[in-house]
Amino acid sequence: MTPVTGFLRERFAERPDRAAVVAPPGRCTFGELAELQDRWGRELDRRGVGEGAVVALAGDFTPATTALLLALLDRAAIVVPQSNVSRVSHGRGDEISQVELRVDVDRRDAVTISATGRCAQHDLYDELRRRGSPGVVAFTSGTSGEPKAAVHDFARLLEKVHARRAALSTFAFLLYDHLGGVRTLFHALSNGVTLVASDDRSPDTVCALIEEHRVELLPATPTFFNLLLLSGAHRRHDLGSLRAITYGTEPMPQSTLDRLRAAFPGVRLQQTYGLIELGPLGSRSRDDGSLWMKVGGDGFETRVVDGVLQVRSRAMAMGYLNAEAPITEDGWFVTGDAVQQDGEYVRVLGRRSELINVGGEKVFPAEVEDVIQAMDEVAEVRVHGERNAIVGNIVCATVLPAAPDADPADLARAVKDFCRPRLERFKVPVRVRVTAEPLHGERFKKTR
Amino acid sequence: MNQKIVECIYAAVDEANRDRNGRPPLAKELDTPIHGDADGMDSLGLINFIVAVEENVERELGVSVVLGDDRALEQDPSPFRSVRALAEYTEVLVAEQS
Repeated sequence: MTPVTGFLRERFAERPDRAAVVAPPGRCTFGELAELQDRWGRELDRRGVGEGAVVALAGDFTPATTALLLALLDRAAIVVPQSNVSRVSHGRGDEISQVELRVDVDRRDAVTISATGRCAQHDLYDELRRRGSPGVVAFTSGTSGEPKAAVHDFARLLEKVHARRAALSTFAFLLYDHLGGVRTLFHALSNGVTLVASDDRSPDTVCALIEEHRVELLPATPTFFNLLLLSGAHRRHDLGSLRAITYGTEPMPQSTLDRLRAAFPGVRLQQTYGLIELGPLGSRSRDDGSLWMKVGGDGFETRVVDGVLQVRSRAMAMGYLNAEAPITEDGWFVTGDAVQQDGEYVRVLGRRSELINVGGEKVFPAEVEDVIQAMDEVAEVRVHGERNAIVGNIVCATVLPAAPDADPADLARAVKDFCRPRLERFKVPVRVRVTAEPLHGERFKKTR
Repeated sequence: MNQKIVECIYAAVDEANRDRNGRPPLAKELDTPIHGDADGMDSLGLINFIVAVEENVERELGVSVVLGDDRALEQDPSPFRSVRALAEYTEVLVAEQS
């Protein structure tokens, strides 16, 4: 049987001397990556790692991790990618996905392989073994309760990157355990462009790497772009190589998008959309300044039912290891994302589960955050609902001031005054807390 | 009557008067009706007012009280019928916490 990464190897051979992965201090060319893949393949064979073996691969986008991932896929192993700042702890992830072998790769590409003594058994794993397909297990963020482990047939995900496309050298901002991150990697490998990565994702480091390696595409989160603009790092570095910016994984405030557009004239701005259970879908923003986008196509069908986006695709997850999948009888995956619809375009309002019901009136945190984020005095904001005996729930905001010495009471009052003329009354935060702590996690997403 | 608590309520009245939607401002007097009167507050106004009083009490007296829970709603007569009634109810809660 032809290994699933066979098409990639043919492409590596076309440009063996071009940089494939640059992850200081490590780097490798496409030719070296092919050699590394073979070397690690021999080691896996020696250890008897074969079809259906459940293997945790922990690391970041480095040469060894990339080579090991390719070698594991070729052996039809089931890979559980874990980053150094995984959303689920490695131990918990190993337990849920019944990891049989751990492969840990550190920043200097030193590899440690250890057997866990487990023997993984699950109907979804059996189905992958029957198909002879490699698998990947990805975790949902698990903001409430147990994180859910979605199992994908990796061969089907790879179908999405078979076609050659014009590609841009890319900064790997999304992490290795995120399907968007994995997709970024394979898109770059398939199209022969360089992937630049760093475990330090602070604005200045990211900008320095973009400048040094002439990166053309920066896919990141709205939270990161907000911090970037606030830090002014984009003015301290020459980012003239950038041709496109993509943003996703959480709602983008219109105010941040407007500032991003002003700061990067001539750079294409594109919203992305995807879920752990679906992988990234194709998307196209209506224009650079718009949050409306078309999603789907290329094997993904979409529809909106009761204001919630549903998606159907051959490439969607086979199911969860530890939960029932929210799939309708006719095979549509219920995303949980509430959307507005305008013809072919949708605008994501937020997770249906985060909706705040104020006496029957509906509020999405993102629309309130959008307004507050536009205040010069505010660095970061997070909005949530709190139970209230009179109206069921109230809107509450937590803000991190732009100036550390801001008076909390004055700022709280200023936030409410700013919101009153801009939002309907029930959307104006009743309680505004001022914090000194960042409101995002290491994945540069708001912590909810 | 605890004058500090009354001041906390008056500060919340000032706050509420910033958002009266064109209705006449509330007077800082003990007999001013808060809710359940045509000139009082609507439900959203009341919630904002209650949270403001809670925050003021916490800041000025260092005591965390909850004025907008089921217990308050079940009181008969309502503690929100006037500034005086609310001050007395708040005083009871503060005493329980101390």
